[in-house]
Amino acid sequence: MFDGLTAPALEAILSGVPQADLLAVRLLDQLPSRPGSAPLPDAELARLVEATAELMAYTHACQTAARRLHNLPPVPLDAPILEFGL
Amino acid sequence: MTPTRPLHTLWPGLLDALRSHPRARLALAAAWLDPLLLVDHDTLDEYPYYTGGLPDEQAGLLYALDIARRCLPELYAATLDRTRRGATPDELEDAFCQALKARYDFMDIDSYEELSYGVPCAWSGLEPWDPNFPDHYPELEAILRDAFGLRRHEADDEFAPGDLSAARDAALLLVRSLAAEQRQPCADLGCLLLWLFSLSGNSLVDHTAEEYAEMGYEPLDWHPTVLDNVALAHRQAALIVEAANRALDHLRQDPQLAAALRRNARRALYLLAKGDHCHARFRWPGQPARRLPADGAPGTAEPDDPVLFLRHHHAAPDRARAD
Repeated sequence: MFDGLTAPALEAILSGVPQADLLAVRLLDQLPSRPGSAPLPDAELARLVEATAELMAYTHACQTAARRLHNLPPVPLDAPILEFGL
Repeated sequence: MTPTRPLHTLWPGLLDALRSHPRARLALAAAWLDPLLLVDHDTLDEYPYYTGGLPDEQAGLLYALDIARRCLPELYAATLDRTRRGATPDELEDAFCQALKARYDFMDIDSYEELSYGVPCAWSGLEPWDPNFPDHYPELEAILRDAFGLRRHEADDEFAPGDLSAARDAALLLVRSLAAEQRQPCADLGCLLLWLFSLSGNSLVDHTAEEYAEMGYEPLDWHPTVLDNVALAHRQAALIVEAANRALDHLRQDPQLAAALRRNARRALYLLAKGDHCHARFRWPGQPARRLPADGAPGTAEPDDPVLFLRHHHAAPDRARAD
């Protein structure tokens, strides 16, 4: 699957992944900036539950992806290595 | 000299700064909604014997949150929300236990510490060999005595060795015969025999809590799959025990059925003693069902649960193939 993939190409792919649109982040933006205030109105509990489940799934997926990337076979560089050009 | 500002007035600025950076915003969201993401689970495993230096109530809350995070995300989110709203430790513990009970009615839990004993179960098993059994279950004792001919020794109130085992084998023959009838009240009576002789294959019905513990099984892990299986086992156990209790009503109200049970139990014991039980057939009051009860497929009538349960789990092998 990764045959011929170079490090810059991999970097470009990873940096091109769009930002996840997470409900948790949208709720975070609604947090009041005053210290000591209630985080969200009571009626928002259902959305908090939804946001928590989505965030946990997202972080789990990220951790899984990171583990897989960590275990990738070596990715060949496309830069010439002159020291070994005998 | 730069004028100093009270620390708390920095909060809005810090929050806005964190929210303006994509990576910090994501980290803040995770810390807000999923603070157990980076907690070391190994230290929680030892609760309540080791709390990692935390006060008991905090360690207990962390332990409960860790379970909820794995098994019940909605309870995890709701408990965290309560902590943010300033609930007291007692309120949090009570709300957590109540929510578990509301979700799983078989869980009799009142404290975090009880969670550490594994997924709690409601055991319904019987111990007919116990000398106190006749006092607790006089009607079941009457079945053992009048139908299966079991007599307790006067000296120790226990059955002769092997008698209970023979009665158990006879009961299994009757259960298969009752399963083949595919109707009520035969299915209820079959469930009664399964319960009385610990033949159901459902540990909750076949064992008491003490028996299960003495068998050396580990506590059931708090894991979503285990929790689903335990809930399923409790639903099946409730079906069997409810059917068994209905069967006791049938036996009280239907002398023909009670007589058939006595007659067939003694015949089963006789055939087993002769070794001539392979093709034994037993007659029960009423007519066997001509048509198989529906499985609950769309458009069919509501199936009778005990009938289906016996048919699927306790029919004789040849009967199961014929179905």
